[in-house]
Amino acid sequence: MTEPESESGLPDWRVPLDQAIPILREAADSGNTAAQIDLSVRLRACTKASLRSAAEMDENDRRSIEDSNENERLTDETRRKLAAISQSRIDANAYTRSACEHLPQDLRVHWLDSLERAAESGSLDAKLTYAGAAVSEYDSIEAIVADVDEAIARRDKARAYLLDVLEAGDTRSLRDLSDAYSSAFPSVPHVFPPDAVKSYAYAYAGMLAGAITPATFDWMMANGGKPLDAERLAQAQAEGHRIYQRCCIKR
Amino acid sequence: MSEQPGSAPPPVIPVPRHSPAAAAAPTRPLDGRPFDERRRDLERRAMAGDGRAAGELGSILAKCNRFTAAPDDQIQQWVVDAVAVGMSVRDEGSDLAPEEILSRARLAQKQGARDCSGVSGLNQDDAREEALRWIEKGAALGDADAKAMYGELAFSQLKLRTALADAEDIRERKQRAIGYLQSSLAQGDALALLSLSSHYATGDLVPANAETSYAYLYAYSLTSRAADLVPEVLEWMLARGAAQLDGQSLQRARDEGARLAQCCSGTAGTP
Repeated sequence: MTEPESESGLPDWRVPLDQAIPILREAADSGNTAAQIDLSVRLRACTKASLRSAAEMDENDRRSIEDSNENERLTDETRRKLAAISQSRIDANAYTRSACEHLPQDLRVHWLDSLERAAESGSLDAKLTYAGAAVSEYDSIEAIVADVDEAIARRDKARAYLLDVLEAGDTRSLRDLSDAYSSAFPSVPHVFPPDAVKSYAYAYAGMLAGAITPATFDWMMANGGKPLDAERLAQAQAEGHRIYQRCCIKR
Repeated sequence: MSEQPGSAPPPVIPVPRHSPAAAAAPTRPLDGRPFDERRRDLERRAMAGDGRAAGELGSILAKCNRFTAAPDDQIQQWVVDAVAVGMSVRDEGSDLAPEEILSRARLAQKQGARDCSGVSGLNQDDAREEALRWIEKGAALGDADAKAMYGELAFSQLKLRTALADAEDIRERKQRAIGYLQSSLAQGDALALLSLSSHYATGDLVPANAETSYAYLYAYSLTSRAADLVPEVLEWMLARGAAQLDGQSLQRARDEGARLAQCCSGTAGTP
């Protein structure tokens, strides 16, 4: 079997988990930063939060198949296609679940370690990935309460990494920083408290730097909660200019 | 348990929580007068430093807000209506069958009828927040029941959007909740056994452990305080906890429960 490879020569996302993990582990252990990132990203599918989310998706897919079967307005062909799509997701999740169960427990528990190693070695990709992935496990108040010390440690690291990336002049972090201060997604854990001015300012800086298109900027602001009044808007734009000049012009 | 978003608001169906402590923190029996008449008196006493009154207020507000005593056909209709508009109840990652929702709603109704005797028409949007304020006050004043209940309420109003950013506050609440549970147990309050069972089941304050959860629940069932729960509710909780254990673990948990029960002869109050 020919294994799909990414540009880095590592197994890409199409390679099943159980086949990809040993290859990524070996490369990660030898110091390959891309492999360190990929290893954590792939192992993330085995966290309790991801498995729970997959199980919920399965239920929705099963319900969707039942609904399609009862929907008389659908043709048999459409019904068959919809069922095939849902079933393929259920099968993929079942495969992942089984692969996760066969992985060493230690590896699953410490799924984030290799990403953190890559981030600590200075990889900006790793820092950005960490900032998004590390807190994803805290998808409920109960999860934060249960593991609050680790949650705080990851949050602080995520904050520092986002600012590190910006300090390095990488404008990709502007979108992430804007999102981190946004109120747009109330059911997702955020590493910063909601702050409409800062959210606007980082997004505005991102637009000035060309990292965020005007259309995306408009969408972000339209979905970011209550619009700013004129005074706060002026403050946010001035702050956005300052951020842009600091991060992006001097380089 | 969660409701499916995007559907019309369903009727309120009280369903026991997923943890074995389905009805953790039964309220103390009222003194015969309706809550409406007693509330001001309880508030006055609580403000004057009566921890028991504060704990009682918190408990009633937490358990009885929007509770309506209803006949069985009404409960059945609620469940039918709720399922018809697409409401689902999740437990341990799966949607419950309508029959199971009905069964739990009946249990919750029985327990509610006991807990909320004399309380009617309590309908406050901020009941959980006020309940937590009274429970905090009661616990600070030394009321053992309030201490046992604190961990059940301390996190219920937090929002996920801000929780991680404010996680230091969660850490403080968690430490306080654990301290209060230990203190409540030391005061000999059997309600702390029930709360601990719940926390060992969910794994929020302490690492999740089904055997330890059952041991605390079994211990609670051996105390006079177990009479606060409707027998069917306690049986359901014990059966549910036991179903997660093999024979050996179950026996071990019962032995441990018998030992734990020695802490608490029954109701404990403010020292």
